[in-house]
Amino acid sequence: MTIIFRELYREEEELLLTELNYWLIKSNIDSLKKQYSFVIAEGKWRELLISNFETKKLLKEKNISPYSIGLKFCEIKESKIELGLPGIQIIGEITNKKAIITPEAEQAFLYRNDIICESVIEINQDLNVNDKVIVKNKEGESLGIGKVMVLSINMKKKQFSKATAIKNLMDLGWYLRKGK
Amino acid sequence: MVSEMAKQLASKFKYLPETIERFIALFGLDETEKMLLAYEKHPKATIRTNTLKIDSYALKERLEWKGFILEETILDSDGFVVKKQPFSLGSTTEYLSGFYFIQSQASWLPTILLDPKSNEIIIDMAAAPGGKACHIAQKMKNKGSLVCIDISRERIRSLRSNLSRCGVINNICIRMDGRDLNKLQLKADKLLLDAPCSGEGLMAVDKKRRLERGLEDINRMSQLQKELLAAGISSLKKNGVLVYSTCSTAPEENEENIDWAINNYPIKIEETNLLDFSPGLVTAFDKKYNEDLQKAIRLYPHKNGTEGFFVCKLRLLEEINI
Repeated sequence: MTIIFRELYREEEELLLTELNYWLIKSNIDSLKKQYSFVIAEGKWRELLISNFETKKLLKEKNISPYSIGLKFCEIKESKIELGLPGIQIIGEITNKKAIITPEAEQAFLYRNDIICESVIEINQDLNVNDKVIVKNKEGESLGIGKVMVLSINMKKKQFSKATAIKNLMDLGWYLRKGK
Repeated sequence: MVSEMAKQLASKFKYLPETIERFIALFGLDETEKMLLAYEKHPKATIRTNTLKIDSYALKERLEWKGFILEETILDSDGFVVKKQPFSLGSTTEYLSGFYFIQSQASWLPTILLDPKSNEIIIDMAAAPGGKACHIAQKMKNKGSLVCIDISRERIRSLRSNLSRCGVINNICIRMDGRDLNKLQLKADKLLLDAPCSGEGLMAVDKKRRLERGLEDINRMSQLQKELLAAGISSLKKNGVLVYSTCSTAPEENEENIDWAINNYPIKIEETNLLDFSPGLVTAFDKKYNEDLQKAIRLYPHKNGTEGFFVCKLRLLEEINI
């Protein structure tokens, strides 16, 4: 199937902005927009890719039909955004919506497992159940993205220790499972 | 006609007798025996730091804390020989985070010779699975543009995955036959052609090749390599640099192709200024090649502890009209 590379439609820009507003403060959004150039790749899937400005210019000037360009920031499914692994890494560097997990849980998470409450070392207190969160290890690397299942204030309570705190939505282990 | 000695060595090391005969004719009996013995050992695992994400000192510290033992190499300050690995190098968080690439030392050379700069347009003509492309991007500091070409649907997925893992943002991946490169109407500052080859230099890694690949494969690849070289040369700007490499020690896939290119295009071979490697051949079997081929580099398992490898740096003197 031919993939069409084009600028974002207005509704896609709004969707992206809504997603960025969830994760980031305004100054971070502005610097992200200055740093990267965004492109939509539309084929079987609709992906929002990030590139540098020179490369996007080259793509336009030479009328090249590529397989891909830059990195997958996210995929747009109907009117929802699902961050891709590079998108998770970029957002993970600057967002406050993050959870830090233990080294033991890190390995399990990279094998698609969820995280139980006792494995969460630290989590943003403003997060609610069903909110998305970037999962990080103690060294600060973004390991993936998850969905909060237990209110952060309850995570340290003994009765919740074995309960699922964060459901795994996407993790770096994808590169081993599907990326080869 | 295959000699008795070639037959004996072929039987001992499980190669095609014709392959051994060729090795003896090219390198002599003594060198051939040393090379065959070296091919019995797997080359040492090596990794290259992805400086787009981490510096080599921090990576070393991180991996050594996990029980890996790494040793610096003289070839590239970002690379390490892995002396001890308590578990798979391909499953660490550091690997998945794109902090390093598992790549043989010989494969670092083409990028080192290409010497990528931030503001350039660079083409990697046979880019999958992306080890050299990621290396080029990190030398470009993720600036400029890196056009990655590969013909295989499956391999280009793996290329994209590796570029993604390593955070390479300046890439355009195009699935196409490299021989059609001119159709892009693109003129690059630099171009890497790590050409598809018989893999004769990979006998230690892939033992099946010893009995499966022969002269017919070498000649078939040699023809394809010439066509790729022609397309690559035509897609360079004036004074542009083309680095040609293969993981083969067969002169038909290396010196013969460069000699053919020199005779047909306005190109010259550049000095590499890299010591400790064997020079390219200027004679092979009954053929004589351009004397400048001594500036090319050959790597051998018994001399360098790597796979068999060839690399040559070329410069285009006049732009080719396409």
